[in-house]
Amino acid sequence: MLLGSFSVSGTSSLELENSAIFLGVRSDSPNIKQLVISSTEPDRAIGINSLSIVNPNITDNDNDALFAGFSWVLGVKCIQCYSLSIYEMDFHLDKLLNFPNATVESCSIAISYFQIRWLNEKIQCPICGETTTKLHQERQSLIRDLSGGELYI
Amino acid sequence: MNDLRLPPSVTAVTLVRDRATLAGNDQIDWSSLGPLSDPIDPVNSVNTLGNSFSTTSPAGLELLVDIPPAEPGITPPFVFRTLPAPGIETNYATGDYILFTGFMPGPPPAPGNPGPITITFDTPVLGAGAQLAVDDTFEFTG
Repeated sequence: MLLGSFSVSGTSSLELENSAIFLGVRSDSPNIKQLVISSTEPDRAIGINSLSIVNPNITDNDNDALFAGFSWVLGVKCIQCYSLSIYEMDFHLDKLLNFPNATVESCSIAISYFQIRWLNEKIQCPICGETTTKLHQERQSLIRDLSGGELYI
Repeated sequence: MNDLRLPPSVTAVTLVRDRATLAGNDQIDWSSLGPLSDPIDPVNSVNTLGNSFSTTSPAGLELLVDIPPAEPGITPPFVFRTLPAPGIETNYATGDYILFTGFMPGPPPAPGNPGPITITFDTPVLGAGAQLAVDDTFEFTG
């Protein structure tokens, strides 16, 4: 059964300004079985970025168990391998996570995501041994079983 | 006598225009499908996808992706990354990974596979969405 069909005008460009249209659907019950994504252009390729999902099988308890489960962590790498950046943010998640020389810039309990910045002004690459102050790459890593240090609730 | 029974409940499905409003709690990052393709030279890249493939979200939700086969000369579907290098320029955010239906390499505008991209969830969900762009087309309706 077709639950709904929506059309939205969009644009494409090379500006890297995150203007690509977002097309999402939300239902008041878990009944979305299939998405069909298309455009009106008959002979042009289409592309989509990461698919966000509202998964009914994830409960609030799953999210509350953040520190015992998995979390997306955004790390940074230096020009060769690992990295730096100078940011300071007073946030108690820093102490909960207890990562050395790192601060939590933002987080989403909904998708178990932490964005982390390293506080080192420079770092010695563990692979090539060179010292660097240049940011080379950001990436997501899936981390399981974050300890959170000694936590008492 | 008038019939006073209530009508059967109707499920409301609504369009959501931004990711924050959708408030997803799970996701598929297409980079999880394996090595990326070179968007400049996908023909010689071994990292193209099939026209039908499955993947699993971090929370264990399985889904099937179907993209119809394209005309001869058009690449199979593949995943590439936007800038920074070796990615290419798009109007997604920097560093996004894009599931692309495939195109015919050459000067723009390049013929391509118009899809659709059909995503079937193993277990029905409450919502889903992604950003969409069309290759070499400045204005379109999605």
